[in-house]
Amino acid sequence: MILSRLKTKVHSLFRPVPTWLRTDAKADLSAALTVAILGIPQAMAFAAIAGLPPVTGLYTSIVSAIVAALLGSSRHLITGPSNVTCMMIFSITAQLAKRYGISPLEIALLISLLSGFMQALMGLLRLGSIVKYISNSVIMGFTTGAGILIALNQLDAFLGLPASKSDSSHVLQEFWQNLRSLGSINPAGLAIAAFCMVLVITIKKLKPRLPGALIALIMASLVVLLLGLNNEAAGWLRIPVIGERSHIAGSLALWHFPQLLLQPDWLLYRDVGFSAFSVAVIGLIQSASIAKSLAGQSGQRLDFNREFVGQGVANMVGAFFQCFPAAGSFNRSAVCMQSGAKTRMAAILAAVFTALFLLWLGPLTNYIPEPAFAGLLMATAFFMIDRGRFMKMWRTSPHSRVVLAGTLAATLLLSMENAVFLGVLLSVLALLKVTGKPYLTQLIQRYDGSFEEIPFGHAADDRIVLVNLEGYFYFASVDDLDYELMQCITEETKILILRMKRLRAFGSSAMLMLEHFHDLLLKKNIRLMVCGIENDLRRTMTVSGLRQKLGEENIFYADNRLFQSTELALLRARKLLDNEKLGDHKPTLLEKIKGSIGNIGKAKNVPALNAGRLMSKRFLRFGQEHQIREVLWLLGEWVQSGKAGIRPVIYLQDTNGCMAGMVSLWEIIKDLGAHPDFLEAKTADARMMAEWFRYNQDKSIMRLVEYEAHCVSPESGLPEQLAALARNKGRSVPVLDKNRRMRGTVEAKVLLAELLRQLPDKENSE
Amino acid sequence: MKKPESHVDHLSASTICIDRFTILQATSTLREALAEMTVLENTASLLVMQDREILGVLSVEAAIAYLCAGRLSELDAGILPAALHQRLEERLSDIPLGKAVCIEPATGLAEMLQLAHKQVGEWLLVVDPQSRQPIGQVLYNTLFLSAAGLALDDNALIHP
Repeated sequence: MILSRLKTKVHSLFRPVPTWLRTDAKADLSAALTVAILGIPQAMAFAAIAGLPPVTGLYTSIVSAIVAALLGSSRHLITGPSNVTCMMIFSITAQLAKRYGISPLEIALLISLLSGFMQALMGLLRLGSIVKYISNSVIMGFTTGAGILIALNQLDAFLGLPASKSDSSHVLQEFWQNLRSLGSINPAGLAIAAFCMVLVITIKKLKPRLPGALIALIMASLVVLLLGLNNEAAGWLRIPVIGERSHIAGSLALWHFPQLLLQPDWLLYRDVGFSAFSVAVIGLIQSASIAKSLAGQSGQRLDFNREFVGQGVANMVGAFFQCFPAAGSFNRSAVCMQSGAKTRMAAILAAVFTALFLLWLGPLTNYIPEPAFAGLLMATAFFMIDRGRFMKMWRTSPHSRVVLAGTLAATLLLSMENAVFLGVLLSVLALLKVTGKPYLTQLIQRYDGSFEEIPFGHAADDRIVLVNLEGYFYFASVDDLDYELMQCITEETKILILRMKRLRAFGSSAMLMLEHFHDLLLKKNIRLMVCGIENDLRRTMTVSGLRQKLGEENIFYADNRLFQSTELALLRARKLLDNEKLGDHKPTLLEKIKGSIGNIGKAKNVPALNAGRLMSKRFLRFGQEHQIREVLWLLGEWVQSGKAGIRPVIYLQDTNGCMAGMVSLWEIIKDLGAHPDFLEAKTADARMMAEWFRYNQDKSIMRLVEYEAHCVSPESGLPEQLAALARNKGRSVPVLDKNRRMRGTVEAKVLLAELLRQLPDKENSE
Repeated sequence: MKKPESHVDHLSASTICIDRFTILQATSTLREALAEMTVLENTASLLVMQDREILGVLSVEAAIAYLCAGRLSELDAGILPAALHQRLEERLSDIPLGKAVCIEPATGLAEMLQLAHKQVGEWLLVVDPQSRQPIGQVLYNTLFLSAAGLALDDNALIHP
């Protein structure tokens, strides 16, 4: 049964061999060869980062790559040694090897086994989506930190300094030791290292498809051998080669049972366990993000859970073949795709080529000078520290800066495995800060039924207050929210409506807060209504008893049409207030007007002719931040619709909804012809005119505000309105409330009609 | 001013003018003019003529400015000055009128906008080339739509 399922699975992973040979073999072979040429020097260099024998990098490129390709889902992902995980391995093994007196390789194998197990388990538990909880800022901070650490770590080899004799296990401490021994620089070693670094960077930038690292290593080895710099005769200029420290034999004796499994040390297991988890998570994030990026280009659909299992099993199997923890490599994977790989056979063939290289040409690698490796790794560090992307992320937001700087500092100063978790913790804290408060605004319904959104607390005093709540509504976000909401209540307020359509994550704390808020309002004789109630919120309100407490008549449920329930709530509120007013026998507006006749023309502020009565609510307002281009379009649409009147005026408002100025059609027409060439032009075709008319289009509309608009309040009488109209050159009078928010406009025609009514001619007056 | 040679033939005055305008004789009073303005739908100005001669134009803005001139402090204080009565009874021939800019039907958009920009007049009045009698007017709205249509490359605006 299991064999049958495995057979089906393997069959589904690869095309039948004859089909593959016919259609994809050529492309896969070519891509595999390119990947192997690029990967061999990288594998040895990354092993050097991890502080392990270079040959283990080759083993990892062979075994882990094959297993991951067999079980993973990406067609282009190449698994093997990676710079970040290698730096983490170095950070972990350097400490534990000294503490427990064990070989770093044995610790690395244990980490590989444990991290592989964890990765496979995460895949089997379908935790593939866990990668999305690690933000880009964490990855960037971590990668940048790892790049800096690699550079610092390789400084001694780069400068040709003797190996540090200090007992310090931290890279920064070693860096300090290296600074103190700058007098012992080996100029020949430094020259070789610098040559390799510059060559790799130059080739990568100018001819990215060329195997820069391989070219650099071959050239450096030839120079050292030809000049005899690896001999004792070279004296203080002598350059050590790889073979002196760890001899690479031309064999594939990979099998090695991890010794730490034979002699269990639970204390060591505990220490390694936590670090292995960090390596597992970082490895998966790296592999998943690379696979996702490549799939985005190739159009392949990925199964992250399967990818997790593949990576996990690869690391577990690798632990028995002298492989340290592997992860996806972006360089090699990108080259694999760009070289035209069609199937996962390309990754397997690349591993086979690496094995063949090890068998036939492996001994030659013993002659690679150590400083050449250091130069290679310096180039790697150079590319890992992506200054452009780092600065872009830094400028994005304060939260990104905190996470980025925190993760970077932790990577440099703490252990790398802790840095990731600290970064995640900072991300979560930043997220909690953002979601810890719902976003409050106030809504005002315009004359045409649409809604205007203005900052909370900036709406004009009204009997009905409509508050829009957006965001998260859980225990942290509702703290003190009831008292904050009370700030929009004025003496005039009779009904408060909360629009809750855009609220998420509501719980019992939110219901308790609403209950308390309801009680607070009741004490002030204010009715609370809620609208935009979705099904989830309805259920929560029901079980918490809030629905019963508020009363069904005060709850309006969300509908497919936007603002449907808000409109209903407003209608209901207005009806309630009208009924209340009739019940109190308050004088109607008509009665007020009738009562005021007789006083007209004699003194100030005739109630019937105040601006609030004469004003129209049909006017065009626009944010002062807009460009003239947008105003042209809007005004054009408005004029075409026939609603604009003869000489329309646009009223500009600031972000608080306060009056910022007025612009008449006349000023806009003048501005269209403002190009100096246009005014002097003797000929003008349509193209030239269009060009001239666009002269000022990208500038702010505020440049067309000629003078401060003279405004009146809703209580202003006819004479005041007339004076303001005359000062505004007869263009209309804005009516503002005490917060300088526009309530309407009094048009010249309306004022003239009223004026003529108040000043009857002689015949009529006699 | 020398007339620019516009190649935007379809945007000449004859194609975007309307033939509706209100004429008052110079013997009419300001009150009559203001009363007329309150019922105007297609124009914000009146054409004032003496017999068959164009005397000038009176816009809502100019009328209000004249009516309230020197009385703003009283108006600010909430008082409708009695002097407004007297001004309302003045004849249009006695009050300052705006200049009507007369253009011919063939005048192009460029020249119309140049005239508008230089504020030569308050009104673009289209007159018959031979009789010099008014035959239509170009509204600011139409002028704006024509120019904005070009600027925005939006044919929908050019042909309102």
